[in-house]
Amino acid sequence: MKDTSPTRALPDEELVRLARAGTAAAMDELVSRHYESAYRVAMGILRDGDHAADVAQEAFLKAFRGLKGFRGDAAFRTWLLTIVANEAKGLFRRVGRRKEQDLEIAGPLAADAEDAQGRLEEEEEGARVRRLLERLPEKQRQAVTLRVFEALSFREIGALIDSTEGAARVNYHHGIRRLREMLG
Amino acid sequence: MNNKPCDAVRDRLPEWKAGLLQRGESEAVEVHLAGCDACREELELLEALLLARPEPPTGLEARIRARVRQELLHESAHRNDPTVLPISRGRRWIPAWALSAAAVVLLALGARAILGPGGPDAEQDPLLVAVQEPLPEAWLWMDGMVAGAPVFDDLSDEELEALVRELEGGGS
Repeated sequence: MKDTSPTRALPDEELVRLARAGTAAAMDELVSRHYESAYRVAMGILRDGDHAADVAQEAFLKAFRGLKGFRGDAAFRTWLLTIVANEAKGLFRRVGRRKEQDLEIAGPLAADAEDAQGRLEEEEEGARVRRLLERLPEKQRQAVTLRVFEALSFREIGALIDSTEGAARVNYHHGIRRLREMLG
Repeated sequence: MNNKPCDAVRDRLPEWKAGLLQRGESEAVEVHLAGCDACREELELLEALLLARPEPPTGLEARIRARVRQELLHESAHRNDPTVLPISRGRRWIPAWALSAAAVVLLALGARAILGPGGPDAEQDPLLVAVQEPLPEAWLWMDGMVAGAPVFDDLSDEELEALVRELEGGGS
């Protein structure tokens, strides 16, 4: 694979322009920048690691195929994540969500502890927080995770979870308040 | 009870954690956090939530990249994508601009043979005129390969391949 380092300094808009012209290195860089968010947005809807990975993959293909129709009104990331959310919702309608899956095995933890003891403690805490997140109403959980995990704006969150910007904000604040109470 | 500075800072904490704020904004958040216990507690809550953030499985990035390259390149080769003109000759692809240049030269040579060097356009060598014609704009394609504009839109793949064979055998 070619060295993609020259693309690393480019903003998404420029990468999109290059990707539209067929530059593979630009597509690679867009994947590198956004695949984690794509995966997590899909996870938030499907709660299944395998399905989320498949959806992320399909969404990138769909996004690149549709680049000619992407007018740049929104950021590429927002556009991509909208595709992810739509794909995930479509898959959810078809196959449902694996409710029974233990989210503790959904993937490695974000934090990278320096020692095993620290890592274990963080894993335990992460698992506890995941269980608490599961106790939130769906919209609150999605608003909180999209805001905290992906730093999406309330407008972006509203578009992804089929609600308004204001409703997304309210759901986020209610969710945070409940989590604060539960975490004590 | 509304606390405007705290509300503003808490609204920005996810972006601050993600490193998305401008330098000035980021510094303002840090200054506020240094002197506000309530906002530090809010930050601790977000940090606890981030422990629950699922990470993608190992290898997903490479998998997506490989699939994108495989499928999009494959598709472009099968639909005569205007950005690339794939004509297989073994495993090589012939850039369209090379084909067009060769065809122009071939036509020019034909014209020269018909008209002869002493023809009505003898003063303006048709070969020279043909070679001086600007080549179509080139685009970068996969792996930086240069591909040409679709100069043979009206030709089928078979006709193009016949042209290639003709050009390859034309010199002998």
